Amino acid sequence: MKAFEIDSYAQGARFSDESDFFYDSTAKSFKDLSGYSDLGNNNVDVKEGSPVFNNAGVNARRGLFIDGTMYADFFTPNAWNGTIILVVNYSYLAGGTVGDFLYISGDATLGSSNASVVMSHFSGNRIIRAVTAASQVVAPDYSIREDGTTVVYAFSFDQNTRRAYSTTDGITVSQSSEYTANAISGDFLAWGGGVRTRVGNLSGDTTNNAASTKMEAVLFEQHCFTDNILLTDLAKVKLLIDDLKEYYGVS
Amino acid sequence: MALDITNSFPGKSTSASTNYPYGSARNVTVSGDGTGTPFVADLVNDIFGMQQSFLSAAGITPSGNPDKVGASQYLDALQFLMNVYPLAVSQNTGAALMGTSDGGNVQQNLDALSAGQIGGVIVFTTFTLLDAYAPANASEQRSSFKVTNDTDTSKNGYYHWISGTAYEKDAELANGIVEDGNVDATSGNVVFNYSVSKQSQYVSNFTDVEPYRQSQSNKNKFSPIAPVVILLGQSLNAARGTIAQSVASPNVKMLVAGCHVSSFDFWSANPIKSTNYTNVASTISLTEGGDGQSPCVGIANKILGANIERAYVGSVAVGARTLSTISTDGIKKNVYAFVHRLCELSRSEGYTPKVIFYSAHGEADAFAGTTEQDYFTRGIEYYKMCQLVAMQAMRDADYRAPVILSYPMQNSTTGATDNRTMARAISGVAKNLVNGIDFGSIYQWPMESDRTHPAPTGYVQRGEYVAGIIQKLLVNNFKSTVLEMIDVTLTGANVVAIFNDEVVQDLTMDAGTNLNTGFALDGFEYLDNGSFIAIDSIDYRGSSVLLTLASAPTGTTSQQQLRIASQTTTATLVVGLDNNIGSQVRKNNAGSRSIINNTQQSYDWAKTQTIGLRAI
Repeated sequence: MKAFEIDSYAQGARFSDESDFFYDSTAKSFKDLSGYSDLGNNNVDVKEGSPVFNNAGVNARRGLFIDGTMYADFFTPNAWNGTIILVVNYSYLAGGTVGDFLYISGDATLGSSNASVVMSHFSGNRIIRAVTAASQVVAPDYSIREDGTTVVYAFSFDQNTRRAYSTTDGITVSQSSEYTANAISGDFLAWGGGVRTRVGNLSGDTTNNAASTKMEAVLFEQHCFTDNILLTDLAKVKLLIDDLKEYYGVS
Repeated sequence: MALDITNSFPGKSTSASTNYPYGSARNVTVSGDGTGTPFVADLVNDIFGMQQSFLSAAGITPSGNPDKVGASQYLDALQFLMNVYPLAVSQNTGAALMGTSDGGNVQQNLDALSAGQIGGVIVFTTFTLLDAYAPANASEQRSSFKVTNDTDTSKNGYYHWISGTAYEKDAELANGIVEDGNVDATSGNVVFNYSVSKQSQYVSNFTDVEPYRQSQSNKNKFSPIAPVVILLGQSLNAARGTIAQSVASPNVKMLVAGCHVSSFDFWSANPIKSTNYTNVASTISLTEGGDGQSPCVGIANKILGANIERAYVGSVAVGARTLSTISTDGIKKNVYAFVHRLCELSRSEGYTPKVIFYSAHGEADAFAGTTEQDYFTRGIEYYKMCQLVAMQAMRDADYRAPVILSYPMQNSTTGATDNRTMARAISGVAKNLVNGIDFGSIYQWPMESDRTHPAPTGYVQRGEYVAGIIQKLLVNNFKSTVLEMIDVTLTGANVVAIFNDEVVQDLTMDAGTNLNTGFALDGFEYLDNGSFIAIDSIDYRGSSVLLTLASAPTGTTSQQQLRIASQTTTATLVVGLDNNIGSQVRKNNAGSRSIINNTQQSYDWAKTQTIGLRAI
């Protein structure tokens, strides 16, 4: 299953320098693969630092090494409602409590005030989760058993049902409780905050670009949809996740 | 030759019968009565003649010994003759075997056929073994030879024998390798599995996106188009004041919570948050109400007709003046919510959505350190974002949503210099944005006394005019152009201004004429190194205009400027059109009649512009 075969596909990127079709090293831009790139503003553009590419995971696939010194950003195509599927491999360099940010979407300086994808480590658990723009609604998180594991993580925020959803297999979809605390505002169910979403800021502080000493992550792919496809098209989501897992060696 | 028994032995034989058509021998009835068939030479020779004919025909010489079972020359003769001569077969049991084409007998040909069949395929594990082998007989020479497991895979395959131990390859084995440069045969199953694995590997393979785009685009062609007009930005598009017209055609729809985002639930709590789904869940007929008038009803007044039977209108304009504000947070998400929901709803109602944006920039200003360049840069980014959202919501990657842009009139918080700066920036955005449409200045419609906001009817009229631009675009594929000067030359005290269209003087509106009246004429102003020189007269000549100055300029060419519709307003506000920045120059065309005010004709008036001169 190809990502664009699922309705409402709006943006996609492979964070690899294996092909010019994925990454323009001159422009430092990861090209949009959804077909909406002709305007030139649907790419993931590197804003600071230089990307480093590593092989990671069981199949040693090529991905973008994120250490906090590099970040890129893109127009969030599903700021108000939609789904994102990520493929990422990460390891913790430190024990204890760690909370790092792979994605930050919003205008605030700190990740805690924006929509985000957070990777955390506490009490021996390794967790990936997504948080809404208003930091109110959390998509069901996913625990990874050990460091160095690749995960395919799909999450969505749904303005209609006022819930967040996630799945890692396209079969079992976990959902948050219905969010009713602020029923008049859609902000609390939205993923994107500001104009663009920032990729690769681990510290959660957009002014802090020091390399992380707590965690390493290699980002492989992202796919954005404007519908909540975890409800509308789950069978296709499963096929896509299966293909991604096979390619990246995710058991 | 053969005896006819009845005729040969009359009275001494039995008459012809079914069993013996030519008669048969008989015994005497009574001894000596002479009625028995005589044992004579003819009778015996008839038998000897037949037997010897068999032998002769088969080329067999009698052995001299009597025939017996197991040693019968007569039987040999018969068997031979059955091979040589046609074997008659009853028509009821099959066709006659007519012999062989090469002149051989049946047995010989059966032997040859059998030998060929048992040749089959002779298999070797390596080419070396084949190369050392010589066919054992003629049958093997005609066999096929196969090498199966040579480490040099190029030697595996099928061969035929040439001579001695020389063989020539006929075909490759199917080896399951799919790679560039490999010439070995590959099975369909291997190719299928390979393609599946590659499909998995390149789940995002861009090369397949194009047919997907085409299919998405084709999907959109089978239902009638419906404009989805989204009003963006700042407060000239925001609902305001009293209602001049509330209802338009029922075939123009708005989101269920209202045509303007200020009507929505969340607005009173925090206008920069994003809308709730219940506000955008469905559509109803457009009507404007408690939150005031906006251009929405005006758009609805004129957008239908020709091929357009349905339209959708919504305004996400807010009270913010800066592009940085409207680009961020909930305001941005409302653009997403409006565009996506109206596209979804139009599709569900059987239409193909065509998103068009309209942004008035009514109160655009230089707040937050915004320079012309900064405003331009932010504008390009913001409207390109809107166009991106439109193509994603429409699911049509080839579509570039038109963006119709107008300039601020007289900002209530900034001066004329900023107005001109913003006009240049917005005009630049319209010209540089793919499918940007420069709407120009908007001084032909009634304004409030602050010179910033339209009067209620002015809102509607402005919307009507925007609808006309959209109609021309969608129905006639005609992109409207703003009236502007494209060249100005100076000779002595004579200035020639060239417009991009035929122009006429129109005195039905006095906009701009009471501002700097000592120097200006018809909205033109001439500056020599920053100082006005009065314009004495104007001669309209098609697309050019000859202005005669009161005196010849003394500054350098680069210090000369001609302006139109760019006056500096007086500090004291006087109610009425005369106090607005404007001109008396418009395109020479029929214009369009307003619906809400059918005494007013709208035209393409000269836009706010300052242009440098060139000497000739």
